[in-house]
Amino acid sequence: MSHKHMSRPSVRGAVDFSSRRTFLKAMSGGATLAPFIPLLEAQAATAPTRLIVVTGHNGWGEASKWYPTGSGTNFSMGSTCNSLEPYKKDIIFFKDFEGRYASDEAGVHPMASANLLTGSPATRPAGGTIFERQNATRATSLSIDQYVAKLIGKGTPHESLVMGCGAEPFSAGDHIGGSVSYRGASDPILAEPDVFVVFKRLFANASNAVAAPTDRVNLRAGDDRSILDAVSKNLGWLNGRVGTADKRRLESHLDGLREMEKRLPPLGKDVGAPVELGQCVAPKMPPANDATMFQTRQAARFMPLIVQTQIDMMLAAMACDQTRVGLLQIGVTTGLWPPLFMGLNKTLHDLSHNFNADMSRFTQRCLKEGFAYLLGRLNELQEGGAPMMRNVAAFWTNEFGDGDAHQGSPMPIIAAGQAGGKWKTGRYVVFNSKRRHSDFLVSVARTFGGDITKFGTDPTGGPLPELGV
Amino acid sequence: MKLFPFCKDQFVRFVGVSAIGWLGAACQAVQPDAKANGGESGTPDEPATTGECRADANFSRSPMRRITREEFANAVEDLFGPAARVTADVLPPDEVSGGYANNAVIRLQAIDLDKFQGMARQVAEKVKANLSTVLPCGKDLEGCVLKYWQDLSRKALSRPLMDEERDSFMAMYRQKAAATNHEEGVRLLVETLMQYPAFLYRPIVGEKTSQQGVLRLTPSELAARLSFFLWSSVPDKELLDAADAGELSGIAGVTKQTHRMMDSEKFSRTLRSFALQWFAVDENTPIRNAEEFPDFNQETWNSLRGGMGKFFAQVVLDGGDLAQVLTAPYTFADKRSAKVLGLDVQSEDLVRVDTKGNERGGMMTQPAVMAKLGNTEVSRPIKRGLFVRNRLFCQDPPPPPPEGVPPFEADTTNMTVRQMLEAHRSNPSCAGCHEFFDPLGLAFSNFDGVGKYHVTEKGQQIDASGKLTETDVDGSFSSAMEFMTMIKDSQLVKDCVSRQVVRFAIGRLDDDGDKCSLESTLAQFDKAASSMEELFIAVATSNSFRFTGDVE
Repeated sequence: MSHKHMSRPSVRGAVDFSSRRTFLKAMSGGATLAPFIPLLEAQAATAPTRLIVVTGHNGWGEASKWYPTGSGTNFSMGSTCNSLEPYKKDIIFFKDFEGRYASDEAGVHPMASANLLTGSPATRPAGGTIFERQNATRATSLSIDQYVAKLIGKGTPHESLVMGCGAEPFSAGDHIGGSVSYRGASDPILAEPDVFVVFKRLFANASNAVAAPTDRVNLRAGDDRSILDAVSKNLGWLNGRVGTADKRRLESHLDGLREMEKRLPPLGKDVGAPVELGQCVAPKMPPANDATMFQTRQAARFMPLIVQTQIDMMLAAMACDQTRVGLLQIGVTTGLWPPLFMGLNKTLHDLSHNFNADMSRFTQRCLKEGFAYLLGRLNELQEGGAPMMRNVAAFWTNEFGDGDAHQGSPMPIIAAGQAGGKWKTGRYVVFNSKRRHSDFLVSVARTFGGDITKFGTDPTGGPLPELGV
Repeated sequence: MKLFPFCKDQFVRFVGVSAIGWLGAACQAVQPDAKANGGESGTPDEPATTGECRADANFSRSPMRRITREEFANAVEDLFGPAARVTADVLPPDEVSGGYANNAVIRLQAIDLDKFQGMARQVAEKVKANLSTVLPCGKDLEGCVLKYWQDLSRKALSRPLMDEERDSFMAMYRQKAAATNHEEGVRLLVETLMQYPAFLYRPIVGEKTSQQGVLRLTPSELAARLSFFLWSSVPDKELLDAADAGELSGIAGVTKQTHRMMDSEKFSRTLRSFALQWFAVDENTPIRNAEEFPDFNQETWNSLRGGMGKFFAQVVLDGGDLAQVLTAPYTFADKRSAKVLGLDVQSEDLVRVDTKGNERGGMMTQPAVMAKLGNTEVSRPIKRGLFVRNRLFCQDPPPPPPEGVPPFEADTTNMTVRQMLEAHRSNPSCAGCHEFFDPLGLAFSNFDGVGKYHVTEKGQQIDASGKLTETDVDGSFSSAMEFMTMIKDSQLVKDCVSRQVVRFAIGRLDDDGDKCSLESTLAQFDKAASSMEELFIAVATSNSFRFTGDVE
């Protein structure tokens, strides 16, 4: 079926992709992602613990609608978070953390989001005006998802999976300053918007993939091998000539080449190496007609659909143990695009400053389509007789609480999943004394076996007893 | 005129750094003398040798740049001809620094390399499909490929292939051609070259000069820098020959090549690209309310961008000056963009049209600029004003007050944008910053969210008047074009525009180490009565362009 058969929302008339059913119907009447069979039961008994990070941006809107009522294990969600009500038993709702940035300093937006998962101050070049500096804001240390990926991702084909929906500012200038995932100082990982690109990386070569052979990545492995040889040799030559900073860039390139090489078949075979997925069946590639929907800048119109497809892809990858760390960035700090899918034509940034009620509605939708959808799927998917939820440590966060005032404090964090039994969920935690968001980050690191008491360079009060690490 | 204390400080600090020429102070701008310092004598040019510039010439190290999407597409076309043209926006997005795509810091990762691989395959298939035109060969296939490949690689890498490289490329060809055929052999070479690090990256290693800490770009590095600056693409044979002959070692040789390259159609390609980046107009169509702006779609956006780029290129190529860039009462429009411009044009292609000079002219009032700095609904004075300060005056707003600014509470239902801003500025802690840029933005009140010109807003006559403060051309204005005419001869603007070209050229923000070079560029720009062509030449021959620092 072609694109035009789909109900396409106009600028004013929003289409509700809120339920899974509508979503599937919207996808040309067929299931985009065929049901996949997770790890074998036996394997599932020892299923690995995975980390899933979901970020929102520009604050939560109205504070009054944010917090739950009640306390301890007996609480009800506030209206912004009402979609999480069915998943309360799997959640730890924190009130609240103290973030690093809290100022009206021009350009604080990207600094706060660079700090969000790194727990370190952001940097930007000296000189120029705020226009130039803001665009080039970068984090100064690695982010928690990448820290955990280094701990637990080595054995999987993809150390981590970083996706984004509307994570590009939609404006002139830098597409990178709003990044939240960092492999190290000034080394951002761009959130991939295109689910087809992700699909090809993960599943196009799967031995039992439904994908046509032409979708396979390595059509000419013999050629690829010669090319990789030539390219690596030249990279080595360049590496011997440049300075330290440039060397790091070339080494990253070389790492990428090594990853490409790993996907090649043994010498002498000229057809793409199938990825062995065992009993796990790769999902179907979404229909090609809809490709444009998943590309950059479509978030304004199709955010719920894109986000849910990305979540399905991420969970398929995890169920097949292709990766153990996933990050999904929904929106972007500043965010110069309007959520047309809700019938709103003000930009996200404008909403956060001038239309607080609409900002609450937007946050509500993001949580519903993103985090709540994720939690629903984690409960549905079974591994060894238990829901996948048990083997996941997930959290949702945002660089600001009060986005209008650019306040990093209070900073919201909602944790979810039992982290393989480590996290005791079903609680509303109200701190008696101030806890910093770096305390949460170090706790996540420890959840995955990181033997550290401080994550990033921000001050920290140490791990949170509430997470049992 | 009321200056808030921190504004004043900021202003003085700013002026102290950037507009020394205007204040007539300090560092003497020094032009290295081409005759005395190489070029014709064969001795390579040295950095600034006399005056106070000597002490200042500690440039920052120029970072290695990776090819941008646009450069990649241009290079493919320049290397293999128009039949191989590709759209390179499937490549990873470009990193922007100083307002210009430079790809100077960010690292490529596996997922990015997948994209380059896909792109390389696409290019290689296109070349193969058209091989008899790209590479007509006689009987001696291998000899033919060898010669072609050496010439082509020299352009792609800005240097000749090393013997070892040449041999391994030829071995690749031979093996593939033997196993399949000649066409496949060449395809494999092209696919490799398009992923070859020396094609993707342009490192600057440099060579020692008489001055400690200052390195001269090697001839091939300078050729590449010139070519990517003026053509946004790989060098041609003539430029590389000049580099090999040592002709780029002095200002005279660089000037000669710059003139030659500016006569090429490839230069206008770059001018269009520079204009769009300077004014932050990217390919993303601003999302607008379809009921309010029914014709504002991707096609219209492309026409508006195209017309704007063409306007800038035309001014420069006509030998125009900065004043024309800022005020000339014409543009390029087709039937789509004409609707936004309020002009009657039936042409499918962009054609030159006059604008009403009192309403619209020059770059700033281009609908694409107004739209990018616009809003989904109304005109957006804060953004526009800040943009004028940042990108035309190179001025920063003063820092906000140390204490949290109280929220702005007022019933704005029936207020015009101007009234809202006035109410906002009645709070002194807001006024400190906003008086600095609001009035400049309000000058563009006649332009709505897509850049259409209006005379009324909410039933009231639009008032675009205001006062410009804290510049060398302070005064009152009553409209956008009056404002642009006021600032067209500002030394601050002139200095800022020359910085923009420098940043575009060297792929990094200018800093203290560039001070003398910038002054010299500005002096040359000034002396040439602000001729834009002369500005490009001044930048290409400047110390910041031809030299680099050795400390990271």
